[in-house]
Order: sequence, then structure tokens, then C-alpha cells
Amino acid sequence: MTEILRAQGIEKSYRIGKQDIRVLRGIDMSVMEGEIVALCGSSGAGKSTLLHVLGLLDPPSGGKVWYRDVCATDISPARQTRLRHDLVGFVFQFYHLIAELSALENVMLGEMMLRSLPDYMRHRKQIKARAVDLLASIGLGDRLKNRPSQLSGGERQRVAIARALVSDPQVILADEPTGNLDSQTAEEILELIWKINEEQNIAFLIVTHDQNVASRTDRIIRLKDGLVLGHSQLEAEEIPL
Amino acid sequence: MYVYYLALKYLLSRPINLLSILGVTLAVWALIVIVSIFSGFIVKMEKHIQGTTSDLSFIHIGSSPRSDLTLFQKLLEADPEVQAFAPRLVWHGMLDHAGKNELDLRRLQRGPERDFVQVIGIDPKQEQKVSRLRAWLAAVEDASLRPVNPAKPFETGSDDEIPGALLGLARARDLGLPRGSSLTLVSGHQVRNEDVTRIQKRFRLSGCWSSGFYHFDENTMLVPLSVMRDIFGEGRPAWQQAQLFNEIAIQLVEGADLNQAKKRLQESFDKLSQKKFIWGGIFWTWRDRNRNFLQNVEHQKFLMRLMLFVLVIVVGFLIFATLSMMVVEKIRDIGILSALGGTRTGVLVIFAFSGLAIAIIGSSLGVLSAVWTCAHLNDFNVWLKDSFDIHLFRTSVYGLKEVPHQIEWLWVGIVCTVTLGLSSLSAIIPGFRAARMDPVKALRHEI
Ligand SMILES: Nc1ncnc2c1ncn2[C@@H]1O[C@H](COP(=O)(O)OP(=O)(O)O)[C@@H](O)[C@H]1O
Ligand SMILES: [Mg+2]
Repeated sequence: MTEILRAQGIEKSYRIGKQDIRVLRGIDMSVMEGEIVALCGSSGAGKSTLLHVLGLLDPPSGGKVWYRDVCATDISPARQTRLRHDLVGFVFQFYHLIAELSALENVMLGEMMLRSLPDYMRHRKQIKARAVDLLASIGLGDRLKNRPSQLSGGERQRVAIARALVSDPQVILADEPTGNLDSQTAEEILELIWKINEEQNIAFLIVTHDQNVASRTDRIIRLKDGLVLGHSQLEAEEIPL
Repeated sequence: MYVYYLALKYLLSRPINLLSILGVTLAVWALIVIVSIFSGFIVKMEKHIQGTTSDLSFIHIGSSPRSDLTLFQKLLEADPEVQAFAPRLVWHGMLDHAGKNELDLRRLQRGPERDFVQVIGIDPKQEQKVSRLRAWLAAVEDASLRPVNPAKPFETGSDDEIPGALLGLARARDLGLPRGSSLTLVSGHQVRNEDVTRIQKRFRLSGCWSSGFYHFDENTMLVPLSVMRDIFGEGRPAWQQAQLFNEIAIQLVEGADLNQAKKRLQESFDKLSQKKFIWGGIFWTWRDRNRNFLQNVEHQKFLMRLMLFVLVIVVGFLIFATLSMMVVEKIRDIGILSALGGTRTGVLVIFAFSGLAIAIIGSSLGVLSAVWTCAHLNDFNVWLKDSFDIHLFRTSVYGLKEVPHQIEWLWVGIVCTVTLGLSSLSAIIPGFRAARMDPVKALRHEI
């Protein structure tokens, strides 16, 4: 198995007044191809911060992020943007869909991003067909025209997942994707994630509080005080998250 | 390309943006329509003024009329560009008429000028060569107020010795005077250093005219030049009396340069006056004579433009406020767009484009509606008057048949450019603020 994503000595500190708050203090971790990894830790441990650094949304104060054999923290912002678009998908706790766009448009947006108008017009049919397929495959084939406000929480998260999938990423970074859902709906979303992982071999890094979620993953990374506590598959049930 | 798509989506799904568009439309509409009316009004007025004032006038400087007309005849006939000229004797006075002392509100409303009148003594035959007297007489629709014989407009049709006089239609209507009414001119004049001699002369209203220039029509009475000469020539030898005048209306040949002709005539006259030691006088173009009025209207137009541009600035603020609000509301979207592979430039373009779209759509609608309004201005005015008794533009006050308007395309261009420029500016500032936003902060932002 090859590594898709690797973090080396990631540090992140925020300066508030005269005080440096060190949120991440040297994180080493990686995600393999087709793997589902859980990122656990108490609230404020720095999970979201790490996810943003890994997703190249936030530059680290120290350390490096690698995608395959590209050192992503060393390249220009424009290439970072391109790399983020091509390799990474995001899913958030609060869905973060664009309210003015329909479910279909939200999904298509990812594919519109880096295209010029003529390029888009040439591929419009394909892009649309792909988005429709994606939504149909996650069970929202009949909700294409609905705005996010007309969808339930679970449905919104499905649309968000479809949006992350549309540009064929190799890894999806999910920040508490079930954190805002009831257990029944959460279960459906997890099933969807595992299904996608199985069918498309896309790796997932899932931030979660939920024992039940963590225990199913291939591997758990625990964060505490800005450091990685340990990688484990078996201890999941023993150590409180 | 997503930026334009998203910008349009934002634009259309937010009613407040439509309000901004409406604001731009309204401002552009007002700027064009109101200035068009002003321009049209000025053009119309200039035409009417030009119609009531001959190309050039010689104006005698001195309180009593001069009697050296032959001199001027020679001077003017020698000029290659003078086509015709007519001597006049212009005076001022108070107009008295039968029934004047009855309480007449309309007359009272005329204010302190209500009895004032400018009296112009003319010779209809000569006058017709320098002004459109015949046409003005014909322009009176009410046949009972038109002179009986347009060729001899001062004929009263009665056998008495009382001379005829013409009044502007507006004045005659104000006073409620029918043809044949008795009018008395009261005035005075001073001969050299003697006491002021009282002038009191009776006339009979022989008809009316309508020149289109309300100011002229309201305040002028035309009387036979010979009658004025009799009044002012009392005690003078007959040959002198027959030459009295204090103004000459001059008609130039078509295409003549007014200012050059004026300069040339003035120079010849000055030479002559130095040699012969005669009274002074000046040559004026019709524009010189009405400078105050024309400048007044131009000035009002300028003020109106200034005021209306304040409207554009207000609209700029409106766009600024709307887009700033949109940036705050869309903070999370900015984070998502970054996560999806959007750039800072893209974010800037979304907001700037929204603003620009507001300006472009608003300006286009404004120009279109303004052009449409101008085309239907008169119908609109009539409709308002008939349905609601609202007088948007009192055509009758200015003696106009229709609301005047003239679209100045240069002005339309200026309005659009300024509106677009200002709107872009007001759009780019919030756009930059959005683009500078840290995507992580944007993502962490709670609703
Ligand atoms: N912009 C910021 N400025 C200062 N402190 C921040 C900022 N962003 C996050 N933090 C701090 O970093 C810590 C980790 O936050 P976060 O990564 O959201 O934790 P988690 O997702 O694990 O709950 C928290 O203590 C938070 O207060
Ligand atoms: Mg978090």
C-alpha cells in the first residue's frame, strides 16, 4: 500500500496578544491509499486545525505536508489550490452547502471551479450527468432541484459528500461528518462512506467523537495536547476518547 | 467560470440586490429624463427667444429717443450681411384698462409687475422683415382675438381716432380683455433737463399675438411707431419727428456670423460717432439681449445635474452596503469555495461582478426606461393632469404645446460611465475584503 498523505512534524501556534498558543506541537502521521482513519481527541485538541493544515487551507507554523511525493507546503498557493482541488475532498459537520444553489448545482460547483467558461460549456453535459449520477448513487436522485434548506440534515450531508466526490479525490477529509445527525441518520452516512471507500478506493480521514465510528475504522490517531498519543486499532474501546 | 455563475445566483436570490438594481435604474432614469427636459426646454426657449428678438439690435444709449435714423440707414445698407432692419421706439409704462379696479386674483398673482408693460412702437410693414410678426398673429387660435386684418394689425375697425395696439395673448387672457377693449398707457418722459412730461395715451386692443416666449408675450404691447413718434416728438420739427427711434431690429442674411457682424457694425458706428459727435449706442445679438434668462436656465440645469449626481453617490453607498452585508452573510461560503479549490481572485471577482452586474443591469434599465419615458413624456404629462390633476410640467405657463425634451447622448454616456465607475468602486472594496478573508476563519464562522 502506498501513502497518499503524510504529515511531518506539523506545528501550529496562534499568537494571542503576547502569548503563543501552541495548538499542534509536532504531529507525524500518514494516510494510506484506500484507508479509513479516525482522528480522535477531546474538544480543543486541535483536530480541526490539523485537518485544515492537511487540506492546505491553513499554512502550518512548522513541519511539512506531503501528497504522494509532492511536498505540498513548499509549493505556490496556486499549485496548492490545484492540488487541493484534484486530490482532496472536504466534508464538514455543518455541511457548508451554498444556500443559493440547488443540490445538483452544489455538486457541480466543484467541477466548475477550475474551468474557464468555454471549457465548462464544452463539458457541461458530462459534468451534469456525472453530478446527477453521483446524487442518484447516494439516494438523492429525486432531490436534484432542491435547495439545501429544503433538505434534511442527512440529505444535506449526502449532498456534501457527493460534492467532495465529484472531482475524483484520493482522500476525503471529514470533520465530524455525523456530529450533527441523529444516530439513525449518522449510521446511514457512515454506511455511505464505507460503501464509497469500498467501491472507489478513496481514503477517508474522519474526525470523530463517536466510539462506534472510531471502532470501525482501519486505524485511530489520537490527539492530545497537540501531540499524537498513539495509533491503534485494538485499544479503541479501552481508552476513552 | 463558477464565479459568474455564483455571482448571478447570489444576485438573483437576494431581494436586496434587486433593490440596488432598482436604485441604479431610478438614479439613471432621473438623471437622463430630467436633464433631457431641461435641455429640451432650453432649446425650445432659445428658439422662441430667437423668434422674438431679431438677430442683431442696435440699442440707443440715452433717455430720450434719437432722431438720426438716416445715418443708420446708410450704415446698415452699406453692410453686406444686413438683410433688413426696422426702427423701433421702445418705452415702458403702466397699462390701465376698463374694469381694472375689480378684484382680479389672476392679475394680483402677477405680483408687482402686474401693470407694467413694455411698449414697442413698430412699423408693421418693416417689422415683418425682421421678425415673425405675421406668424405670431396667425398662431392665435381664438379668431375673436386675432387682428381683423393681419397685414395691418393695428386697424381697429372703428371710426374713432384711437389707435390700435396689440397685446400678447397671455397678457390679454390674464386681463380678460376682448378685442376692441380700451387700454390706457401711462408713463412719462423727460426732455433734456426739464420736468418729466406725463404720457397718457389711449389705445384700442386690435388683436393679440402668440410668440411662444411667455415672458415676451406677457409683458409686451405693440403699438404703431407713428403714435410713439407723435408722443415723443411733441414740440420738435416734423422732419425730426419722422426719424425718432431708440432701437433698430436687424435681420442678417442666412448663415451670417452674428458676432462678426456685431463687431463690424459696432466698429463702423464707433468711427462715425467719433467723427460726427453723436449719441452712443451698442449692437447686441439676440443672445446678448437675453443673456440673463438663458444663463439662468443653464445654471438651473447645472444645479439639477449636481443634485442628481448626489443621487448616484447615494446609490453607490447602497451598493456598497448591500455587498458588504453580502460578504458578511457569505463568510462561510468563502471558506467552502477555498476548500473546493477556489482562489482569492475568484472570490474577489464574485463580489465585484455582483456589483458590476447591479450597475450594468440598473444602468441599462435606467437608459431604456428614460428613453421610453422621454418618448411618452407628453402622454404621461397629459395623463397625470387628467387623472390626478397633477401638473408635472405646466406647458401652458411657457406657452408650449408639449413637454419639451431632448436626449443628449453625450450626457447619457457620462451618466452611465460615472454610475458604472462609482458602482464598481463600491463593489470592489467589499470584494477585496472578502478575498482577504482567511478561509479557515470563514469555515469556523458560526452562522
Ligand atoms: N484562529 C485561532 N486563534 C486562536 N486560537 C485558535 C484559533 N483557531 C483555533 N484555535 C484554538 O486551537 C485549539 C484547537 O482548536 P480545534 O482545532 O478547533 O479543536 P478541535 O477541532 O479538536 O475541537 C482550540 O483551543 C482553539 O481555541
Ligand atoms: Mg473541531
